[in-house]
Amino acid sequence: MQNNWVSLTKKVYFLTGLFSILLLPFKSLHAQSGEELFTGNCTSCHAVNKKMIGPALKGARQAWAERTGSDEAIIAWIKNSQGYIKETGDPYAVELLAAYNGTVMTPMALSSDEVVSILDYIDNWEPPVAEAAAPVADGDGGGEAEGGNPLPWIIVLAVILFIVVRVLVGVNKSLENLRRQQEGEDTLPDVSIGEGVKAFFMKNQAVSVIVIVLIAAYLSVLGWDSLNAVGVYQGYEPSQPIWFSHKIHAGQNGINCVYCHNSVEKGKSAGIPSVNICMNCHMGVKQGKVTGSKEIAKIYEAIGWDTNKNRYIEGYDQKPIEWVRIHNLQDFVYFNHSQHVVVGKQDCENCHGPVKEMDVMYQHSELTMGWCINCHRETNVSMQGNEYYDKIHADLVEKYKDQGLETFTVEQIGGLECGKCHY
Amino acid sequence: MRKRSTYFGFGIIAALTLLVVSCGDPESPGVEYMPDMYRTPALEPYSGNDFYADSMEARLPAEGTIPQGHNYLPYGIPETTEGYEMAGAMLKNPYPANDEIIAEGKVIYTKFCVHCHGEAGMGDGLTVTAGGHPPPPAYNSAALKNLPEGKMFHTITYGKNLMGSHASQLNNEERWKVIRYVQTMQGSDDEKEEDAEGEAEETAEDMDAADGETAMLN
Repeated sequence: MQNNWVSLTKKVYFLTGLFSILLLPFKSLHAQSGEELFTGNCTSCHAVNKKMIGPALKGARQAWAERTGSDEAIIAWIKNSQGYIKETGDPYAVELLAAYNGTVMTPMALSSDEVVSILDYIDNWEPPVAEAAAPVADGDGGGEAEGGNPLPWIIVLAVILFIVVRVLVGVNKSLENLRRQQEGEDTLPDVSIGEGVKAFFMKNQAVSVIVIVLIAAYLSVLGWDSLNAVGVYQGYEPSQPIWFSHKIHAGQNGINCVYCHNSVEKGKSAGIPSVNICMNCHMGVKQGKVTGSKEIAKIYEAIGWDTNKNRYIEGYDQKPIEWVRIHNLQDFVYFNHSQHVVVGKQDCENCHGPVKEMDVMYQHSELTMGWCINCHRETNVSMQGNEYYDKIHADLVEKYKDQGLETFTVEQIGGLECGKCHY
Repeated sequence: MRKRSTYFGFGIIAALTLLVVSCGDPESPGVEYMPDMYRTPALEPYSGNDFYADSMEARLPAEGTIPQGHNYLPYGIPETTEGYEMAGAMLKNPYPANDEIIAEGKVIYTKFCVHCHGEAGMGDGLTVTAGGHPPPPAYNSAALKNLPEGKMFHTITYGKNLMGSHASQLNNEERWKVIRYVQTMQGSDDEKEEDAEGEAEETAEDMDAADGETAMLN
């Protein structure tokens, strides 16, 4: 009996020990790291080294420990700030709450161990070196060197060629004169460039005809193109009051066009975002990648955001940001964004070009009537699943029976009629 | 003499053409011929209006007004901690959690939420990973896992912590639809959702009766 008991207790101990050993790795698997807990629970209000909605957290643990002698108070405060104030009436906590506009911290469903691991993470946190050292690139956004204008190089080359030709002609003439002198002939007369060229063309009339025709053709093309470009804003790339980069926002950060231009699906105009939409991100992002804080400060200036207190200044006289309009249609033509984007299912890029690669926005398309018409001729209307088109589609199939068409272009539903856009 | 004047005329044409062609200045929209119709006296969106002291044309609707043809009553719950709790307890989604609504919600989510909250709602969108915005908590984290839909609506309407108000971008219907999609990523503990659907409409009516200020859909 005794023996049995001993062996049973031994077995129990053994099994418990075995299980604990087996469970050890799982415990560490399940306990989230301080970093994970920090990003999962804290970063929507706090940063380690700067004030956000709430205070910077570096040094907070030490300050509390100095005051109260242990971590217990700060743990209770983090878990339930309101409960802590109610229980202790700690004047330091009351003051802290008041300093942050009375914004109450949500009670956190964290265990004391988890709070400690967050505090440990904050203690060991170092500012990312590479990021801090990364130089802020030039404020103009650079990109000047790319591509560039070849005209100066062409002129330089032309001048060099001209000089070379002059020298060679001069050498040729001197040698000829030398030969003539030796043979006792008359030397060549000195002629000016103009006279020389004139004499050449008088002698070779076929060449002069060709040259004149070429010049005339070139000038006609230039003239035709320049007349075509009258009133066409294509390539218009004005500087804007804020150096805003679509490349960073829509490209790298993947923000959907509609997030900012949110009336594009609801109205005629795509909408210029109001500053509160900028603030949806820029409450948290205060440093730009290219321009540092210089350009972002202009948003705060417009809407009245106090960067020290992290709140809107009450009664601030808000200033509109005067963006320069790029895409502009004449008053006699009607264009509606929602019609094209929602029903027409056009992507923004179809007309506005590679916006996700543009640091500075420019007009990609001509926006001429010919350009509109071309698209209306080539684009099929997506009628499937759109109740509005059910009857129209049936009628059109009937109308184009002999051609056996199933899909129809904008032109075929009357998209080229004058009154569709001009009324 | 006649010849010289021909050359001269030719030269002038060439010079003028070059002048017109060489307007490669990106700051200028180019040559305009009678631009009256580009710059019209009729007001266009964002063109500026001297009627207002700051000339800003994009303005908020007059206070206390609602758009015609919509049932957008002002959202009456205040932007306070108590209001947040109240919204969580009171508001119910008028839309059922069916595939159609969830699909619509997903479309809204990919336009208005995904860049911060991430594809799967883990708080790892591109503005966080590439743009340096502090990450929002994941929808399935302990803090948000069981968040009631009313609190979500309250948060989208007023913003919370570092998230700003999205009331200017999403109307009531869109807010409720996107909440339906967000709930699919929450991994919530309770299975009350099926029950909630049936009650939704009823509750909405009750609420309107109880609190005319509360924004609800019919």
